[in-house]
Amino acid sequence: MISVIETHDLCKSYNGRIVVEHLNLSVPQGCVYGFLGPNGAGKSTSMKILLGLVHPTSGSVKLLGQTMNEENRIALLRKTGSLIESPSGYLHLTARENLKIIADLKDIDHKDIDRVLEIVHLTADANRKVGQYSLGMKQRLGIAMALLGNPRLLILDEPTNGLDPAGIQEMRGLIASMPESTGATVLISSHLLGEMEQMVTQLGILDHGKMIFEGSLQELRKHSRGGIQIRVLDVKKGIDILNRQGILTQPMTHHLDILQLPSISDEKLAELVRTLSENNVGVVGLTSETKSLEEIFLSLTQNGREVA
Amino acid sequence: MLKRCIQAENRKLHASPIWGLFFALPLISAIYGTFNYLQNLEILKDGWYSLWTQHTLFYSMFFFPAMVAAYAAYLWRLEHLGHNWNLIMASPVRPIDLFLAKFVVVAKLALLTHLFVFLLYAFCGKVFAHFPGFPPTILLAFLLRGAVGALAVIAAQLVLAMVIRSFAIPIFLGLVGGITGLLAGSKGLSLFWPYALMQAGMNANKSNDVLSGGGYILFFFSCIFWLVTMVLVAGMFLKKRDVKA
Amino acid sequence: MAGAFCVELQKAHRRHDLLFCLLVPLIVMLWTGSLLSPGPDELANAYSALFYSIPVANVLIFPIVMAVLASRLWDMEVKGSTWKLLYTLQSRRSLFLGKALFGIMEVLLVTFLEMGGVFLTGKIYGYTEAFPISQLFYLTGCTLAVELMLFFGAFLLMLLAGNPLLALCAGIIASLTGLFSAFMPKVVSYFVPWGYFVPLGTYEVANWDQAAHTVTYGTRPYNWGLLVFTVVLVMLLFYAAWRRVQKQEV
Repeated sequence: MISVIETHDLCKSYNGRIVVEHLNLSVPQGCVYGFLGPNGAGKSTSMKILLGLVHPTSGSVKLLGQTMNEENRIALLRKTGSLIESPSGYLHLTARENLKIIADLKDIDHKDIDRVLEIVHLTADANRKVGQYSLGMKQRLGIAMALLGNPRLLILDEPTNGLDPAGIQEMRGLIASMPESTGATVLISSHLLGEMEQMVTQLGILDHGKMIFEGSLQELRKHSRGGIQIRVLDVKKGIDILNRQGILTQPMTHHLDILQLPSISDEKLAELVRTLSENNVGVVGLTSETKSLEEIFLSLTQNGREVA
Repeated sequence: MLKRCIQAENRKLHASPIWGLFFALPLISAIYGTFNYLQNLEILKDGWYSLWTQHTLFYSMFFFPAMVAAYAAYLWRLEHLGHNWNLIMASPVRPIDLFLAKFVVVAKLALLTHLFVFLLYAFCGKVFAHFPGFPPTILLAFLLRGAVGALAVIAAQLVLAMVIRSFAIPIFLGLVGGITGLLAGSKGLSLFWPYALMQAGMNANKSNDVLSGGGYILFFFSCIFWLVTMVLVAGMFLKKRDVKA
Repeated sequence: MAGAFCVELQKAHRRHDLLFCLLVPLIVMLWTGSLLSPGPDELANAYSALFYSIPVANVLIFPIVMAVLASRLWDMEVKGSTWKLLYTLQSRRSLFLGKALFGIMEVLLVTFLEMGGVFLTGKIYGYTEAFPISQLFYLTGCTLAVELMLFFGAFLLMLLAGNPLLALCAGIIASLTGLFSAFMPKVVSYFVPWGYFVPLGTYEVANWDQAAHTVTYGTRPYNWGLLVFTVVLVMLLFYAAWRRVQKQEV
């Protein structure tokens, strides 16, 4: 699997304060990679290092197969599109004029400007000064700038910031379809975990500058199975039997006939159900919780390692 | 309500480094004025009066307008940035009160600057020029007259800084204003042009009282006229313009 | 680099900065021209009077003018949050050189217009003194050098502060101290680089007839040493500004 971005032992510290620690990131080609982490985890700093805006204290970055250094940085970055922190845009110029400047710097034909304006739905407002734009419009312009020239790699920091629900849905659809429609690879960071869940195929979770998980979304879910809920007819007997099996359980607060069990393997669960049925406890319902990305994320970053 | 606005504006200005100008400019004026006086003792024979003209000439012509322009530009910059216009136009205060609050704050700071100038002048006169006695009290009157004359400039610069959203341009216009004041003064029109009023009031260029005779009436009329005009312009602008945050 | 400069030209659209560059020489010429308005007997000495006053006017106006131009040039990047994006699209060197070239262009524009104004003023008012061509070239060179020094100094301050406040307050203080140094003994004015317009100037008051209220002007030798020093200062400030752009952490 070719990696579009690869970091090797990346470290960054400011005046002794370690912000990024031994980061080994790997973004496979053609995926949508979600970069997650609580505030202050080092996501923005890491993304800035990828773009060469910040010099790492140690370690290296490989972009599009080449180790990034001062000589090839601009040439490599011309093949990427980025949106870091707040969207950029000269307030005294129109959106179209702004895009012309970026197109000139990227050495791209001006014809591409109409295409990106159409994608972000700014065609109607293209000739208004950016100073008059709402936050959402500025965000769209920032994304349009990143999309200019059909880059092979997109690095987006909170791309849905400031967008209305319709805009967020559009952006989600756009990003999720990028690998297929343009062959681009996307690295996005976001706090909207619900949105991330629907867009990303790969995940990297950062906490206190360290990567605590990297892999596909399924892998993360597999490792973090939620508990099991069994609805039974004879609650008292059910609790008795489970306790004898060594499983501590109790009924749920608002559903006194549903027993809450911790996560166990499939085989053990099948065995338990058989035992309960044989003892006439009467198993009438069985649900397995899957933690949402948010729950996994919070438990990972608040409680320390859950995933090795 | 106005009083609260004034308090708010005070806090905004005090928190900024810009009022370093408050110390720097009079100090530089005083050093140069004293030095120049001492270098030209053969020509400047009027004692306290001569030193006064040396201290106040450039101050009233150029540096006071530029300093006021910087204060005014700074106070309005805080509103022009960060969508503050939305905040202030939506607050339960008459828009003109905002303007007047800024005016009061800058005028207060200007008055303090004038007094600082006078103090430095008196100090230099005693210590470096070894003048006997104290400065003639009429000079204090000149100072206060100058302070009145300065009000029109303060108002004008506040209007410019409110309308022009750049920080730098109103400061440049303050300097240009000073130049126009100089030109008006040289053509004898100082009592008609706001940027020349302060210089006339302070008597910064002459030994005899410029305003003696009918001058006082015209001077005060001009001060009031320009002040009122500027405030009216500000009020009109605040009412008519849509808030473009 | 040409590309970076062209991009700067695009950015200057709607900014009125170039209009400002046209206005400034106009103001200087109106000021000095009308203040002097020589009477018929003074026309014989008029160019000398003009060449004497222009450096004095420059020392008052240009610290602030250069602070305005330099701060505005970088402020558009700060206000638009664009410099972070630009660092990923062009090298920092290219961005700095584009800005520097644009700034130099503005300075050239202002200077040449001012010198042209000197020539025109003489024609309009019918000065009878012989036009001192070599002095004009010298004045152009000196004005350019000091203005470039002021520009890059202000640009450096703007880069350091991230907002125009520092550059403009420094400009105001520089105007004041520069003007004063102009009237101080020459040795003092050497310590005030932003006031170098005046010690570099070659015209001085030869004789002041108090009774007749006339002034006659004479010339002094070209101050090549100080001019070279000024150029060195320009290069130092240019380099300091470049280093700042290179090192700036995002």
